[in-house]
Amino acid sequence: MPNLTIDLDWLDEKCQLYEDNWTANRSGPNVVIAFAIELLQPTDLHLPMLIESLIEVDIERVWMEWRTKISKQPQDHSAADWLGQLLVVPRLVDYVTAISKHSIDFSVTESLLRTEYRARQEWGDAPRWDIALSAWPNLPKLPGKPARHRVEVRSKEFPFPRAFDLCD
Amino acid sequence: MAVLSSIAYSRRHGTAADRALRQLLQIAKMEIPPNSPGESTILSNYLPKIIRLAERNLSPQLLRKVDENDIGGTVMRTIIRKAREGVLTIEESRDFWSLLVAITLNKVRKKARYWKQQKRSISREQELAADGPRMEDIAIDLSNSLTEPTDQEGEAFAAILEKLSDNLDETCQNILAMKIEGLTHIQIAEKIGVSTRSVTRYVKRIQKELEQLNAESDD
Repeated sequence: MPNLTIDLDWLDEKCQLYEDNWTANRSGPNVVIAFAIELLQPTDLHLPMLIESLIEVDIERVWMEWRTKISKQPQDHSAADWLGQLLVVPRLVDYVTAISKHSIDFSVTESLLRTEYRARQEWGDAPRWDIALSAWPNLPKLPGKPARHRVEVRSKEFPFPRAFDLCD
Repeated sequence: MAVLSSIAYSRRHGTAADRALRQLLQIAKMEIPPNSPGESTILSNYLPKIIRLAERNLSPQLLRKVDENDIGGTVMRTIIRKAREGVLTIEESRDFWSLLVAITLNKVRKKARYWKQQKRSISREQELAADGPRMEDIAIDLSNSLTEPTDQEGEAFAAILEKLSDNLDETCQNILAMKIEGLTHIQIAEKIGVSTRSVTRYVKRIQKELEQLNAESDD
């Protein structure tokens, strides 16, 4: 049984390092993957968790940046320019596609989907939930291994006793 | 359906449960993230269970002072706030229920700790009762301590806040100020231009500093 727990302080530290060096030009799927692979081997079981955390940071920053850019657009900009700005923002699908080229065992988690959705709602193009999900036609097949990762992380985030025996 | 069962619960448990029901209706009116229309139903299904759990874990003495329905309400508010901040997802699952259990028990523990403090100690109250103070006086004292902090408590809070602020760097000071204003992690992230993960990290740092200050003041 592989050990899927990860040192959250280590993970936080790496995310901070990534974010400290974050700029709009140094972001997106390839930058995230390169950063992660520099730290962990492609076969390392913790790599998907690191990538997931980095993607969460990246997605939020990218959409925040997008919002700033859009709000600074001159009034006379054309709709095409505006659309151009919109299209350059990497989507979660782009990250997953890029990761698949590196033979990394990675699946998109519900947490990532929600992070992207929330970022787009807060700072981006505010799509409807069903439209945001339409990029993932195979969604029902997604839960499984990545969800177990998330549970491990959560159990550390909430250092309370497990209390299943109290369930009704 | 869930609301109906809550009403039935409310009828069985009288006015305290009425308050819980009002809280439940308030929750239903609160803005729950639009991505999960079933969230308010899930929460209303869990509320009676949480109240029962709180009731079971409160000692008879504490039950005289602490309303299990209030604990239910605060657990729900915590969950909704955390869902809004993106820390957790509201869903029907064993993990979600165990999280609710953990939060509820933690709140029960906090209440117990609060009442164990010297001034509010239940045993102290029993000692006083033996000396024969009027129950009305205790009730007035109790209601005062539950509603408004005293001047002394206010001063102590301000002193801790000042000390805490001195020990923090500028970013953390700003975040602390925004947390006190009631901003969510997302709002703070936007204001200072970092990810919500970073905000969570800063908040943890603040909490650690606060715990250290509390430990020092206890010594």
